[in-house]
Amino acid sequence: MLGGLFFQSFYAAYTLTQNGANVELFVNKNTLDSTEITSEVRAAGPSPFQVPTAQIKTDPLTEKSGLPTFPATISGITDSAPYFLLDFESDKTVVWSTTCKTTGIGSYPAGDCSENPTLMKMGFDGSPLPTTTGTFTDAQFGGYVVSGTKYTSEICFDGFNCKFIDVYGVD
Amino acid sequence: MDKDLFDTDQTVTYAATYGGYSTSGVILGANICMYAKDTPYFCNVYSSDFYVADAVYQNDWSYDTNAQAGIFGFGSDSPVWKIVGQPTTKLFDVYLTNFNSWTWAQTNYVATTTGSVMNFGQHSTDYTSADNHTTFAPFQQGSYLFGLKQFGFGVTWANNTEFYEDVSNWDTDVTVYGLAANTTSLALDFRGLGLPKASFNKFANLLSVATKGESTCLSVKSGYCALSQPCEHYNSLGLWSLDFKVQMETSEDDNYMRIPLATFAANYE
Repeated sequence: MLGGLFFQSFYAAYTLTQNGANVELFVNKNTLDSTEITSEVRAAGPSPFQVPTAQIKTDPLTEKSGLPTFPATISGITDSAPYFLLDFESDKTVVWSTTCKTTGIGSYPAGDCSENPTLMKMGFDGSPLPTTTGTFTDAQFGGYVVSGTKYTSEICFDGFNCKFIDVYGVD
Repeated sequence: MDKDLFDTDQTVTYAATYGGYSTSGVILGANICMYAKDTPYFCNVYSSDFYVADAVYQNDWSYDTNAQAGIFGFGSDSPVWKIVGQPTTKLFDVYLTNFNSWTWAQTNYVATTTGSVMNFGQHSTDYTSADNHTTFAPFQQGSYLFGLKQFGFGVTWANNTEFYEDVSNWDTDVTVYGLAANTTSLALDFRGLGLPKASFNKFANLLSVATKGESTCLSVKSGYCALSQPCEHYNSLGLWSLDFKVQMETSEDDNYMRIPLATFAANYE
């Protein structure tokens, strides 16, 4: 279906008769220069759809030997230099909220997620608050069983390679 | 709507689909007046039927989108034509200006006309048969669907070569699209570009490649694609040089249209 925005680019003249409808489309005088109506047959050119490659760098300041970390930004985290682990086996992205609490794990009592035994960087403060899309409970990420709130948030690696994704904010 | 304003038999009911809405309700009658340039009272002097929806069962075109107060029907049998004397041959046109401030796609862009109009009873004299145009008719008698001969997404390069991926809909399953698989409608009561699911998914993949993964498309009813940066950001990346190559099914000419991708893009409001 070609909706209202289409008519910014093309002027449409309708003629309705008892035998049916007839439509003539012209290039709208308000349109962009690249708009055209033509019968020109053009030679094949290169594809504009070249699958790109991206090089995601590890963070030398925070990585530990054998446990690399990756700098990235996510809407909802105020910290200017957050860093993350990476999981090839999960389709989902999880972040630790600033109000994150453990329920008491092993011999450790309940407490902040930044304390033993989780030692998490609690950075997701919801500023700016992304769009909330629901809640989750008892989800498993990288060996953690967690609950919290889901958001649609923008993630960027190295200041580019940005994309809107579902982010799981762990409470 | 206050139905007491109208002198009508409210026992006449209807159940039908308009603009993607499946609705039922009552048929009322009233005079119709429209805002018209240089004509303060552009009204039908006869009482005309219009349909008042009491219930809505489906919303296929504009899910989660403002539906305004209703939809005027301007088809050939519409009582609206009585306003211009019910001519045998009915002429009207759609001459819109730019809505989305295209300087993000073309830095020197300036709209030629400032307002959007529809002419009734005549066509605009700004366009003549000497201008490049394409002429076509519905693919079936009585239909408002137009057949497509080509529907591609790609680019025409500055050296006059081209590359387009076919995004046509080939789902001719009679329980889904059937003979209407490769057809389109021209609709003012729908905002953007509406695609069948398979076409949408293929377009979404191509857009994702073209934007280096920055686009996110929702393949749901009234789905859309979002980019992580404002439209301006993608001009230097060449995104707005992409277009849709569309050729209508017609024996009148061999012309095709190149519809810029920017036609269907806008910064979030």
